[in-house]
Amino acid sequence: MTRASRIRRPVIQATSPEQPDTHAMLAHAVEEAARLLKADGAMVYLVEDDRLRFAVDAGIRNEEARQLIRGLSLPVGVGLFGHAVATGEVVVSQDYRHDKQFQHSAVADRIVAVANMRSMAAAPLIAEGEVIGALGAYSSQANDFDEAEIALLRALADHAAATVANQRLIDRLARSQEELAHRVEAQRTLAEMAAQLTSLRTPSEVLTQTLKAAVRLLRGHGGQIGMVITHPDGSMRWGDGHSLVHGELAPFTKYDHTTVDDGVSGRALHEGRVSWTDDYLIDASFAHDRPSDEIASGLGIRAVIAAPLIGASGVIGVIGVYAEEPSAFDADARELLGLLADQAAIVLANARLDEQLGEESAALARQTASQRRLLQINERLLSTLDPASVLELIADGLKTVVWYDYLGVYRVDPSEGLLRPVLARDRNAEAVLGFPIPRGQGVTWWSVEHREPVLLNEALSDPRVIRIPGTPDEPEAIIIVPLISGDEVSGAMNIARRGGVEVAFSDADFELVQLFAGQAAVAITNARLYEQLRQLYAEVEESERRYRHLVDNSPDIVWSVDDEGNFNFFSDSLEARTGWKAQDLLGRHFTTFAGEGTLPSAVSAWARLQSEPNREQRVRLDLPLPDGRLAQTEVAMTGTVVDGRFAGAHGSVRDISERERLEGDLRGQAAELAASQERAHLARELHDSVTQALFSMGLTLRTLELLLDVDESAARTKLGEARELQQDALAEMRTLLFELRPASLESDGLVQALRTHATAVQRRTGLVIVVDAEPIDRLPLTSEEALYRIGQEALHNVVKHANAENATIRILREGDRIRVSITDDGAGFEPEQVPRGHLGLIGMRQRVDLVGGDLRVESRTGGGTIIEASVPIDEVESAE
Amino acid sequence: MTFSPRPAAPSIPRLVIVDADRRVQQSLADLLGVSGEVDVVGRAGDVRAALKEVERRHPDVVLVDPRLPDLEAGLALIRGLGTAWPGLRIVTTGWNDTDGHSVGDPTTLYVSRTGSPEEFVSAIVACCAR
Repeated sequence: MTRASRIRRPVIQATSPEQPDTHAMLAHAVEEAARLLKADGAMVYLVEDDRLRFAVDAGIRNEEARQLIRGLSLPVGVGLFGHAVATGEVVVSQDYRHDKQFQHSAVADRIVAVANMRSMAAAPLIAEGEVIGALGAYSSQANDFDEAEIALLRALADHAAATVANQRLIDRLARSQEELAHRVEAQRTLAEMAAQLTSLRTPSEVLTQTLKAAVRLLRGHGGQIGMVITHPDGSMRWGDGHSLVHGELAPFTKYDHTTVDDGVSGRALHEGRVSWTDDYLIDASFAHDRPSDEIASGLGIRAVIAAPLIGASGVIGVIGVYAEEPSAFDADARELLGLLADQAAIVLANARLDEQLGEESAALARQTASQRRLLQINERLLSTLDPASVLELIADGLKTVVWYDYLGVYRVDPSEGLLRPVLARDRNAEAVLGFPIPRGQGVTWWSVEHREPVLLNEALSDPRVIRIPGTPDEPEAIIIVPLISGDEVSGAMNIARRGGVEVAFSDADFELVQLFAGQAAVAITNARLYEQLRQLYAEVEESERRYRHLVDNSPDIVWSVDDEGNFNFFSDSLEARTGWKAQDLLGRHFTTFAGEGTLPSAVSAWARLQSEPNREQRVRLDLPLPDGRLAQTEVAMTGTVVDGRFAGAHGSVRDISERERLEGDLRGQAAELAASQERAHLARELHDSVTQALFSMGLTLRTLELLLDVDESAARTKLGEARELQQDALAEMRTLLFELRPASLESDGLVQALRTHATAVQRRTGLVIVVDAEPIDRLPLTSEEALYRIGQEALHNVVKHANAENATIRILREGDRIRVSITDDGAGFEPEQVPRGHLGLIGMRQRVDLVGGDLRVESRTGGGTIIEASVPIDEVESAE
Repeated sequence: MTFSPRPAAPSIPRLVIVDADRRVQQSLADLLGVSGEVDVVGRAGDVRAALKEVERRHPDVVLVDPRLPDLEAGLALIRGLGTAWPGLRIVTTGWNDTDGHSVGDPTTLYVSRTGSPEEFVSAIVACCAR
């Protein structure tokens, strides 16, 4: 094999962070060294962190040697190359394995053995006074390198060192340019985030955007960002957050609120600044948590860096980035993450403020929704008497503002000491409806008895909670509100969510449920009132039905008028009793229905009602009928008072025509009785006065007769007494006779005597008698008495037989005759059928005949009667 | 000079006249006194006076016109006298109308005024003697 043939293209790729250009230049250097020194091969080691690491070679073909040399790293001073680096001198060994001038390494010796190396020379690479490595060549021959070759190696080494130094400068420049670009990008990213983040509306978006930017800018493989809550005890616990693994974002929620006290994140939080590790799993400078370590191991996490998010009130979160290589994060990365975290904290604070505003406006919206629902419920409460539909509406309305997966409404049943379910919604509804809660059991009873609403977010842990048969024993959050209206607890409403603390009800929820429960209380109370009202309505209906029956079937007409006196109601009996239809009379004034003669009574009764509405007034009114007749009626009425104000009147009208007739008959009988009493009076007067006087006179005369023979003077005395008795008797007789004759006829004349008599009859009987007379001259007493007696008899007949309401006596002169007529509107009669001697008609005719007059009788059944007597004035005068 | 009845024999019945009309009292007392068959010991015009006279005079017979002035007053007097003085004889008088008979008391006697004065006095005397 020629030397040239021993020169090979470098094939071993170092894991050095050196740039490919440096590597290529070194490969070229070892090839040149092997060729120029006619060696079997050449190698370069570079110094890195006080150790020599193999960089590149030419000529090693043995596979074991290649494997070993690839990972070779020797301390400075060990081995031939290490000795060259340590001394800064060219070192030559003519037989490597037996050379004692340097410290041997087992690995290096093994490589030398298997690669068949005997002679070896190494020259230090010195750049800017610093040994940066060593360049050497080897040969399988002992003593193969001469002085000239050694000098050449030194020259090659110097050249390579310069080249490496230059390349390193170039690399550093390039790297710093790249770094600059990276910084520019980071700045730009930060600026973009600043702009972008301010437009983000939720903390969740801020977190994810920050995490993505951090992983990209730090060239990490993944990371996580999360909110942190500082508890009152000072411990910091996880809140919501996001992880980014293998390019995938995933939210996480640590409901158990585990403390953040382990790992790099924990250290960053506790120190309040950026913290990092080059290799997570083997770093013992922070506390390890087994689950976290398992995750790190599973994901191949090596380098980790974390920064706290610090807001105005302290730590609010933490961001961490990991890389799958160790030592991935340098000072620049640390600075960058710190900047990102600060920026995120600010934006996050803004976002939270924003979200708070959003929450407030959401709360406002919820409030508005509640108000609207409550208003709807209120309207329904007012518009419906059906409590079930209102409770359904309350349940629907509540669900739109406070989500629940169970709702129940209970009613207190005091008679049985139970809480009776009246409504159950959704989860377990059937089991709830089938289980009235016995008194004293469960939180619902507790709430009812203490009149206190209850909020339990961990209901399972409350000893008062009972389990309703048929429902699973599971964690839930519940709210129970007693339904209180007035002083009374009428029931309870409860709602529940299944789950742990994450379904907890907020204070706002609690308040809203109480608001809706208030409405439910009203609905429950209404249900009871509704039932009472329904019964009341039934009673009222019944009594109204009975009352209407009475009104409709009573002989009375029931009516009412408004405050101006216009009719606004008539009972149905109106038409049957009077022939008037209600629609003909409604709206008309009451004075339209008082006959002329009784109108003043009606008006004065109306006036009395207005001043004393509560006092019943009774008046007799003539009610005009549709056929023009007047019905005699008695009207009873009282005022209608509304709000203490006179608002009209109501009352009844009773047709008293029949009663009047009965009363008329009674008056007739009374008159007869009076007449007979008058006769009895006269008889008694006769007995008491005249009869006794005459009897005594008889006795006295008999005494006188006996005394005549015995005692004459005594007899004479008795004679005187007898004469006195006779005078007494005469005087008394004259008085009685005078009483039997109308004295007024003699003194006042015919017209006045008839007026007086008519007045007396009207007063005694109620018959309305109009005396219509023109002034006439006095007639002879016989004529006047004849006409007087005829008038008297005719009125007597009217009262006794005609059943009339009105009678008229007319007295007038017609040419040479005085005419007296008595007219009535009574029953009338058929003159031909009147039996002889009845009605005093014959007596009348005899009387009028005696004075040369005529008598005319005009009557028919139902058409009233006219009796007319006329006497000639001449005849009268001639009779005088 | 005024009339004075002569002293009555111890055997003749003592009589009190009760009549509302003073003229009847006077004329009847005069006539009965003149007849000498009864001793008129007292006169009264009303119930109260009648009871006083009976209590004071202790008559054998009381002659009553029940109209004092009402019939009811006379009937009350008759019942009262019968109760207070069981042995007292009561004679009613009248005009044959309802008055006297309506008393309807079997213990009382009735004398009508419709006859002549002589018959009237005789009837009274007869009643007193029974």
